[in-house]
Amino acid sequence: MDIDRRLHEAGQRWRESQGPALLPPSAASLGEAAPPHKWRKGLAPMAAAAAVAAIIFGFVSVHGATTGSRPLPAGSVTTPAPSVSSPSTEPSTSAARAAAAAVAAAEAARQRAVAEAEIARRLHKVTSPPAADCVASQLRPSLGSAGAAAGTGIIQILLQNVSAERCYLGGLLPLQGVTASGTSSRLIFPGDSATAYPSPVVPGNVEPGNVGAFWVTTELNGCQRGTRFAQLVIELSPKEHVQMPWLTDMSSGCLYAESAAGPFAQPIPTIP
Amino acid sequence: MSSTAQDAPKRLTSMAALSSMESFSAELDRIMPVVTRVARRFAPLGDADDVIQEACLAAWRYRHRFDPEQGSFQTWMVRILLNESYKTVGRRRRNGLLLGRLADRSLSAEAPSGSSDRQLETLIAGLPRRQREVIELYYFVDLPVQQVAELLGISSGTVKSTLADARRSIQFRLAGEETS
Repeated sequence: MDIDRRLHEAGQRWRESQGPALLPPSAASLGEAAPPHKWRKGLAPMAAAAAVAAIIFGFVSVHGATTGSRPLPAGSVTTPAPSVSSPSTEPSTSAARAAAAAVAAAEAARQRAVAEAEIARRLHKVTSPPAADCVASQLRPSLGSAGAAAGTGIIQILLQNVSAERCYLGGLLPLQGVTASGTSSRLIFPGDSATAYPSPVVPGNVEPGNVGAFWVTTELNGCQRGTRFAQLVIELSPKEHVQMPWLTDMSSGCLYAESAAGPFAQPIPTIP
Repeated sequence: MSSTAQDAPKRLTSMAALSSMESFSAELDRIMPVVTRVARRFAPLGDADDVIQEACLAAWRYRHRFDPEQGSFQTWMVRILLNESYKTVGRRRRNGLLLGRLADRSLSAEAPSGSSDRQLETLIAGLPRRQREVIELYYFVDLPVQQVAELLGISSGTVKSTLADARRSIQFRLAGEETS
């Protein structure tokens, strides 16, 4: 297809996928613009506090009810959300309107990570106590999903438990790249794992047929493409290595950070 | 092309229209669809709203510098927004937090049609900055060539040639990936 048309169509699809326009600061908050950042300084903690409150007061449950697409494993322990009524969402002043918009934006930004973290938390609850550590023969690696935005690439790597026994998966798994000639190199991630894509998983047992996951983030701007190896080796332990074909997405930029691994919800939830 | 991006700049905003907070807010409301798109394409993930707030406050603070003869209010505002976006990217990079702020532009939302758009996004992200700017502004923010030129302080001809270079680069890399 003609690249110009393809870009036009991609742009059109992107615009259609976006929500409504964000709100500008209100006239009242503009009036507080001097000294600089006063408005934002006041609002940021408010937005953060509201987001934390949303998490604590069962925002996930509300979200789950609206999407209705997040089945939990059999035997899941569900915690009912406390019946705390949230403040009215109808802002009475322009400042309140701006605050409400910021709170909504903060909630949207955390929506996905929070929902997935809740799934992982519940999964963890029913899979404790820990089983024996996963070994290479139990796990089948595959590419989960990958994407890029604003100069950052994200690669999700899945590890499916193909054995009949549950096994324990957790922590940062060292990675190696192996060239076609067999030379292996330890992959270096300069970024702290805490700055990786917020991993929704916690260490725990991967049930038979279920998957574990971890994420690799890459930086795409201002750096040369990384080495394209032939194989990717995931070290479960010094002696247990899982091997898979090299993921081309990992060569499209500089490796930046790796997240911790752990069991992931099964079936893999549809990301809203 | 959406009518918002194309028609809004044609209305010249006068200095007087920016003098009161209410009228300034009204002008902002008018251009927010384009401003939002620019922020979502250029600001670090999760920071679009913060960048917009910073840009709006900066625009209000320095509104006396706006000259309608030099370009539309939308162009002036988007230029401030781009500067704020790059400043935020720099800050995040220095703090090592850029890669942690990925939540609000989910992978699925970024490339709704699957691997084809995702591949394009990856290639665009890897372009040199100027080429990426014109591609983002022209194809994704949906600004006309003339306005992209005003925004970046270059001629329309340069925008067109940069677009052509960027398209060639993307085409070349696409071909390379398809054959590898």
